[in-house]
Amino acid sequence: MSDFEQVALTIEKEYIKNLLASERRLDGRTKSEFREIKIETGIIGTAQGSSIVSIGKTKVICGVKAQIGTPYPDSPNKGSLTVGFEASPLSAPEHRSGPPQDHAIEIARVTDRLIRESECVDLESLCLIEGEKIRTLIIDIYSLDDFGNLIDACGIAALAALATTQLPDVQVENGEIITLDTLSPLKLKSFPISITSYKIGDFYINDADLREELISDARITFGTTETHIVSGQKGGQSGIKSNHILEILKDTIRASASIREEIKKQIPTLKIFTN
Amino acid sequence: MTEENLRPDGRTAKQLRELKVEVGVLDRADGSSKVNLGKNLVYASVFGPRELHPKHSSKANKANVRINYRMATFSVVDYKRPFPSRREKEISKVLSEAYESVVLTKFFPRSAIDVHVEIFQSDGGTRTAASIAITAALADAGIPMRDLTGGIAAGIYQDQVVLDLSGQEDMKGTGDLPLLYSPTIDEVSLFQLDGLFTFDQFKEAFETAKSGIIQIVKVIQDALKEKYLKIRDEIGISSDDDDLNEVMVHEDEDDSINVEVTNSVDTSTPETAVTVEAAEITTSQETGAMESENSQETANESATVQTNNVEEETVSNAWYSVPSGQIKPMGGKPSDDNEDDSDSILRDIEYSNLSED
Repeated sequence: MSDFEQVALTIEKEYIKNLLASERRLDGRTKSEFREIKIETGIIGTAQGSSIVSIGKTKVICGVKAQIGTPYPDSPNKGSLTVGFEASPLSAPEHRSGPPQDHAIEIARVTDRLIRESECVDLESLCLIEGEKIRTLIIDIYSLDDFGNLIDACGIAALAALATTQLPDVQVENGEIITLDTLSPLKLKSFPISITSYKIGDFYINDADLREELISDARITFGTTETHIVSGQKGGQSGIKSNHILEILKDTIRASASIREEIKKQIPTLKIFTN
Repeated sequence: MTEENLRPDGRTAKQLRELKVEVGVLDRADGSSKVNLGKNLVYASVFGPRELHPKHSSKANKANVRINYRMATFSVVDYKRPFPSRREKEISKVLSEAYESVVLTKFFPRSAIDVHVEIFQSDGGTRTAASIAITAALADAGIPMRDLTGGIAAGIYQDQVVLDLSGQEDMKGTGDLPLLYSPTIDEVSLFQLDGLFTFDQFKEAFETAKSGIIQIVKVIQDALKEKYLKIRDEIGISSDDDDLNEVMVHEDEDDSINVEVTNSVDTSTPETAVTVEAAEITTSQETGAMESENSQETANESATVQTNNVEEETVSNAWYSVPSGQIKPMGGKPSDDNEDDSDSILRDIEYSNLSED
């Protein structure tokens, strides 16, 4: 970033802070308000589940591939899942092609923890032959347009893709796996989403857009299900006061309820199978 | 193949799959496009002309066109490993070279034009589907080009020449000929072939691919026009205020200012140099990819003004037409033994701007 850009950002930061002091934001949202969320599912025929999610102008695409593999020795009766994220060079001039950069790895790992720890996918149901054959779900997310807050977009995209995933039925015959032509939906056990609060001066906002994200001092992401807090990640170079953390968490839980409503509205087939 | 020439997906031998092109779909890119060719889903975005990294690979007399072709892990029936394969690297290379010959790189010395193209769903012919996306995105970015290039494959399926092989046909077919072709300038910019062709089959396949590309270029033109019409509606200009068709008709020699620009640069004499502004505007006019921030009327006016004043503009923009021999490749400064003092001062300024980080 050139000196000029840094000066411009410093001026802009003051402006955004002043706006926040009078409870306003650049695009007129309230501090906790999200941009418009749009979800499309089932666009990729070569994937078992897929989604394109946009939050405002930020847009990501997600695909779920199901493969048959061998289980880890320490969990012979469990399938596995991994979440990958690539800050695709399609999505911003500063994203280069090549091995993933640190920030992309962080987003992938935060989303991975959200999906894994929420136990929304019942890994035991992915076991086909105990100790020998399991299903592996590979959830890969690519950014299409980066206008800030990719983390939350990735969380929603992964959930939307999993919620519409159709796995081919299999039959076990003499220790061999035979893939059938019929499909069954993947059943989700919980409804995880992540919400990231960005710290700008002494203020906290949800769903920062590109400018706000660039000038933010720090961020903290909480992944929640309807009943539990499942993941957390603090990023950025500034500290967050300990008494603020609880306040942010309360706001996050409040905001996540309305985001869940929005997601349910856009994916009518979404069902959560709680035991 | 049956008597009615029906293929597995019901097409006739010389029929394209359904093609849908949209431009301006991604906002952070300078130009972007989305292409559906049958089941193929391709996104492309263009960044540039912009500063080139690493600097040692920059060219003193032209821009580098760098095309990065990638496939998403979930784009194929089996899982694709996330890092670039040899196939992806080869396709990136041949596509980059193909577009070096089409893009007017001489207007942007030392800079890079980066094109990223990502396949999210594949079903045969992804490199040519990618080329459709690349052409549309480059035109959308207002990058001056000699022509709109289209790409498609022809091949042999059940001993018959067919156009636009699907994934299934590609697997079972005995020949594949992907081609990138620019109809107006009649140039082939990418050519690959694998399989078994007789001479007659090759000739037929080549002509079939060319005729397919002519259809494809029309679809790209329509997509670019559609964005232009949408902007016109948004800013509320009635259709009487301009003559879109006159601008868009590609065959019209009077409007192909692009060709004039090419010639004047090829001669490399300062008298015929053309400003970059004029080049950009005339090209976006030709392709119809008008930037949204330009009010249309003013853009059209300024285009006329710029082209009329080409001769007068030459001094201030003289560095664009400096023959490459006068430029030290690494230093970014003009050579000391330059006779024209006023010019060299101007060049100093321009180059110092360019070499700033």
